[in-house]
Amino acid sequence: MAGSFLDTTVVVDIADNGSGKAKAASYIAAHQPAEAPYYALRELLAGHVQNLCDAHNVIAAAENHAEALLALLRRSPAEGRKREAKLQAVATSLRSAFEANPSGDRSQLKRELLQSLALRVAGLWRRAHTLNTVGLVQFLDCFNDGKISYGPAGELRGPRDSFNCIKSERCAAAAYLYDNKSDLTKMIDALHPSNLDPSVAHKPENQQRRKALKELLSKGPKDFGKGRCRALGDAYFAAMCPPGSDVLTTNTQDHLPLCVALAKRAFPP
Amino acid sequence: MTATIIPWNKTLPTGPADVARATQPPVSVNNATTPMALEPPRLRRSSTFNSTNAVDEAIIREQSGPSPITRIYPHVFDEDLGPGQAYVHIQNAVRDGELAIEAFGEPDLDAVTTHLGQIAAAMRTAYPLTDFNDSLGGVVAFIRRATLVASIGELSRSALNALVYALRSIASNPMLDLEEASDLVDKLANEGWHGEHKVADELVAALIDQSGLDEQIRQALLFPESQVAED
Repeated sequence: MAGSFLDTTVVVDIADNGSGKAKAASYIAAHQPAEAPYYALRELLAGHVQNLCDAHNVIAAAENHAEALLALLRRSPAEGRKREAKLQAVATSLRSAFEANPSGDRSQLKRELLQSLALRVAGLWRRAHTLNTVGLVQFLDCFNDGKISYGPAGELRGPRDSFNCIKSERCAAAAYLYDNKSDLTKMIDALHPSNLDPSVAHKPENQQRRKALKELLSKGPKDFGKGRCRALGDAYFAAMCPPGSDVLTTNTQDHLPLCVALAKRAFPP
Repeated sequence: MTATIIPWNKTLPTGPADVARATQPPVSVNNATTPMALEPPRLRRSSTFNSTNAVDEAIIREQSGPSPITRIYPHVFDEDLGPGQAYVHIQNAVRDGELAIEAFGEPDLDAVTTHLGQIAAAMRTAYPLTDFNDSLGGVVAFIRRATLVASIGELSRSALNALVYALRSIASNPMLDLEEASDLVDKLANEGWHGEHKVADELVAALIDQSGLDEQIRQALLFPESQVAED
């Protein structure tokens, strides 16, 4: 049976004890060896971990629940109705965190919420490093790994005060992909709108990814813009999935065209 | 035989005057009402008469002295200050946790419930005093919530052991960092303690739980820069 190569969505599901954890864990147990690239951690740090730390810091800085909610909504990357509905539901709960505590200091309720958020994000980040029966592979020397910690004002900070790659290093993910220019070319072709299903042909992330891959092919990793590292996204998992393994993702729609172009496979857990 | 306690930061007596000073007033050993962990290491003078009626004297270092953390940060964990008082409440909770384990084995489940309530109360009192370290505060708050809602029917010896382990851990290392705190909370949660914060859970669910979200939004969460349209 083929091994598993976990993408970021599956790493998050397992590390955050999400609803998909049990399903993913049983799939992984049956599909060994299971590996996750450091690139998934890099995506997690710059994505969910940063979002949660930002949310923590926004609430810490807010004077009342309305201010906190407004700031959280501003940080929302999408305007989907479901997402707004969820955040509106949180508004009611947030109010209780800012309301007077009849038996003590008003700030204690907010403090408990903030500490709980901090523990959640630190736990997510720590567990992502120690997934059961999953090996972390393909180290990135530009990856800014380390602990999430409190800053002097009680704010949450990323490793070395950053959620991004180490600026002085070249993009190691781009260098991995550039090692196989044939695969790079195949993925650029696969992402051409005429080769994609009409439902995803004009998705912004596919367009961005194709642009990033083209830039990498033409300029090489040395001059590849580090800001485009995350645009590589799904292409990294398709290209770097080792022989004998399949990409494990909850987002097969975007992974499949790339995997098929490289004669690889992508499955949901 | 007589025993005299000599504070660790005092020089050992060398002459009769020193001996007189050191022996006045005597300090009791293992005073249960005094938080031992807040006191510095002690030296005990032991005097015995040997077979020739001569006095044999020895200076013995008390092993039941303070924990390393209070030796490292004596100014922080002074019993008159908040952190020192928080430390005392946590130590009391350790004792209640040990008693809960004993009661669980007897079995006296009513006593287990009582001790969990005492732990919750200790955590409630300790919590406002933990503002010197938010990581410690997070664990204390988690334990308070968990022991408050604990169902006696779902408790196991393993869960109680995990609770005492967590309490001992924060007692021995109140300056723990966020990662250590999240590890402790994970251990408790894995043993069935439910100390999660409802609002925090809802907030995290709204921010990162992507179930039910459109695929495009899921992608947007991972690739915010891709929201910029291509030229």
